[in-house]
Amino acid sequence: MDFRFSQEAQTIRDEAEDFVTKEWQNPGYDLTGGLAGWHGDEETREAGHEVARQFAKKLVGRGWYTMHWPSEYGGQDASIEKQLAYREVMSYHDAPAALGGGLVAPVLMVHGQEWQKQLFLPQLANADIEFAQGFSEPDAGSDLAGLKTRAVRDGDDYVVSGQKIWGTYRNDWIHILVRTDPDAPKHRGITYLLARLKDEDGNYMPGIQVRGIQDGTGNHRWDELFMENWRVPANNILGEENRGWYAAMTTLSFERSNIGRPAQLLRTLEQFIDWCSRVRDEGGDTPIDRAEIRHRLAEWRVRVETLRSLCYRVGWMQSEGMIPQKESSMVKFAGDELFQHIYRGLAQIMDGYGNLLPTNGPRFSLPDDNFLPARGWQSIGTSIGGGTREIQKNIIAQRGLGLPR
Amino acid sequence: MDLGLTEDQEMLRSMARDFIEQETPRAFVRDMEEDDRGFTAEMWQKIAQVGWLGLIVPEEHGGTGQNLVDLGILMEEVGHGVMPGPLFNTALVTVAILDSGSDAQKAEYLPRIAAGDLIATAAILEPYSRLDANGINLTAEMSGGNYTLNGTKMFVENAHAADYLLVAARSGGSGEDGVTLLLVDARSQGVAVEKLKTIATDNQCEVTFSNVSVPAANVLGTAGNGWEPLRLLLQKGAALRCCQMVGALQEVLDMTVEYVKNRVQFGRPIGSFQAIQHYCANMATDVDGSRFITYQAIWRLGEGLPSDLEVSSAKAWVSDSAQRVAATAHQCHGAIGFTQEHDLQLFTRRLKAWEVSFGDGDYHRERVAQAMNI
Repeated sequence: MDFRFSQEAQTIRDEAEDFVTKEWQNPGYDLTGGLAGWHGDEETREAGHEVARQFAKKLVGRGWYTMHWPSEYGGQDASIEKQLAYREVMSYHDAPAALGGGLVAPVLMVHGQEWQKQLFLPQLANADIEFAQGFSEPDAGSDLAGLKTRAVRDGDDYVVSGQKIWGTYRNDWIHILVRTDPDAPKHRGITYLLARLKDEDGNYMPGIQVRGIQDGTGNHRWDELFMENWRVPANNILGEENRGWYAAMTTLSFERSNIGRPAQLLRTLEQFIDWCSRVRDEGGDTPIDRAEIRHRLAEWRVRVETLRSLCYRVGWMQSEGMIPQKESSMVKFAGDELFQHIYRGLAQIMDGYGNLLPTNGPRFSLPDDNFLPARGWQSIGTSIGGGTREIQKNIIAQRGLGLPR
Repeated sequence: MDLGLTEDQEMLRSMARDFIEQETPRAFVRDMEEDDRGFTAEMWQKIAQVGWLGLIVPEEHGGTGQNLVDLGILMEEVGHGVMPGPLFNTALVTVAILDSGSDAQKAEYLPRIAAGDLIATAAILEPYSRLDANGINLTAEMSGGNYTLNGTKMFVENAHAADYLLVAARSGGSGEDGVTLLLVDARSQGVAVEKLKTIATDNQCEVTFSNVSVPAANVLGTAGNGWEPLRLLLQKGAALRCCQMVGALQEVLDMTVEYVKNRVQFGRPIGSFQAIQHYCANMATDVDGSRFITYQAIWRLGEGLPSDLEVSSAKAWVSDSAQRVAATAHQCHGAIGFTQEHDLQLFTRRLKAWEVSFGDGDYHRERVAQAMNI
């Protein structure tokens, strides 16, 4: 038993700490957690996106962006522990990107055709391309394998019709799951495609329509994608026909500890304590002079500490070649719950200040870089996206504890 | 980073589990609840023979010289099997002697402990039941090479069976200054032990000291400077208690999962209902969180690293989650789990006692707040 980081992991921590404190300054948009800013303004949103891209470019320059990739694709085969240590630091500092390539990179490496690998992997590694994600559908959320978007082979093309949702379909390319065999059992009739959403001039391909979705605060956060007789070259298939579900499960040895959650919450607590010390009432007391608030903060710190130890456990299992399953679900749902719990509590303590939006500008200098209520709202979404809390608990109970279905 | 056990530790764990299942099965645990002493001399000798009493005692003093994490792993198994007897208490005093004892004291006490000839327990709390330095008011007055002890200690586990008591006394001063730790022969004149009846049948005792004379040579560490070593001992006690609780919690979870797989209502196992499944998922997450926050604490203590925040985080979390897990286990078991004949109560009652042992959630949250400098 040894809770210390290895020398290698400690080195990347120190380097990342040094780098991120110099190179990353929050531009006033919250770029983490898929939240591109608390405003409906597309221009600001694009600007925020560009800030994130530029930061990713800096990571590319340091050679860190794809440290987790295999060396044959230009990565460094970074150990799980190194990835985790690095991500913990970057998340603590709220940096918008850390490890690149997204979900599609490992699928490309394992199942991609040579031309796909050659075309996409270098662009992904350079942060020059991002794929939109076409997984969820209006009627296929938690039951993703029930997806219905239909792709029918016609000559050299698939003809695709259906609807996707909960992505941002502004990218040139999409990685998308479609149904190619409606008669097969649901997991066995799905095909994975890489397809152009837009042509070279930036116009949507024929058969594609995109409509924005605002979240409950009016923030244009996602889109809906409508596809009608959209022709995708059959050669764009990733992996084999009807084996797309299994290709999508490819993860390679990328760390999945969710370490970013406790790291980010720890920073929020620290900023909040700092804010408290600056807010004094007429008697000179700060909120943390109140015993009940002091104890709530301590309780949150305890929970962050516990969550972090569970995240380390997931990383350690991966390092040992074990496959975390219920353990990953635990850090996901427990992290989401803690995120909500802490942000609700902080907003209560801050009274009206807890409801101020970052668009009031910096004059209030509120904790969490002014994003506290924005992220508090965001926290509602995190226990839904990426597998709901209930799905995670089903996984723990059924696959982890062996309870009957 | 390595969160796993070494091969030796895995072996210790599996041997401990086998031994406890064989030597102190549940029927024995139940018998011992009715027993005045709470354990048997035969069982104690067997524990000595398998080397547990000398686990952390250096080889030169008749032990095997293993570390605090090893002891934690053993305590996890002791909790898993709700093993009766004063092993926890004796081990904690062993820790104190190792940390603070003189060479002469180590040579005198450790071989006897390792051989199973000396049972010991720590007497720290007093009637006011507070865990800080101001709570230590039992007086130790020095005159003619002896200390004279007067006062009362509360919640001294297994004092009725102890040969020696590690007593935290006040030899002067106030607060953290003037605390003195003494090893007191439990058969000294003026020591009176009264067993208290508790929900956990865990042999808590009230111990009164009336003009008890203790040789100055029995001071552990230096007189008047006992608070700092005591503070560390309380931390180690808290972490070891967490280990014990983790073992018990794992068994409560396993017992519950087994039950809901087999209990059929409405024509199907109740474990197939999502409400029950989510209860179990919550329990499993609480138990695993308890395990790794505890490992972090005991490992840091073993390494001699600053551990205030980690130990108090562990005890705060484990104390609270233990109550959640036990309550959920009962909910899943329905009426049968509420009965004496079912084993669940053996765990619930002890987890209740251990919740407050070495400080409850509130106590440790305050300490976490201090460690956070707020």
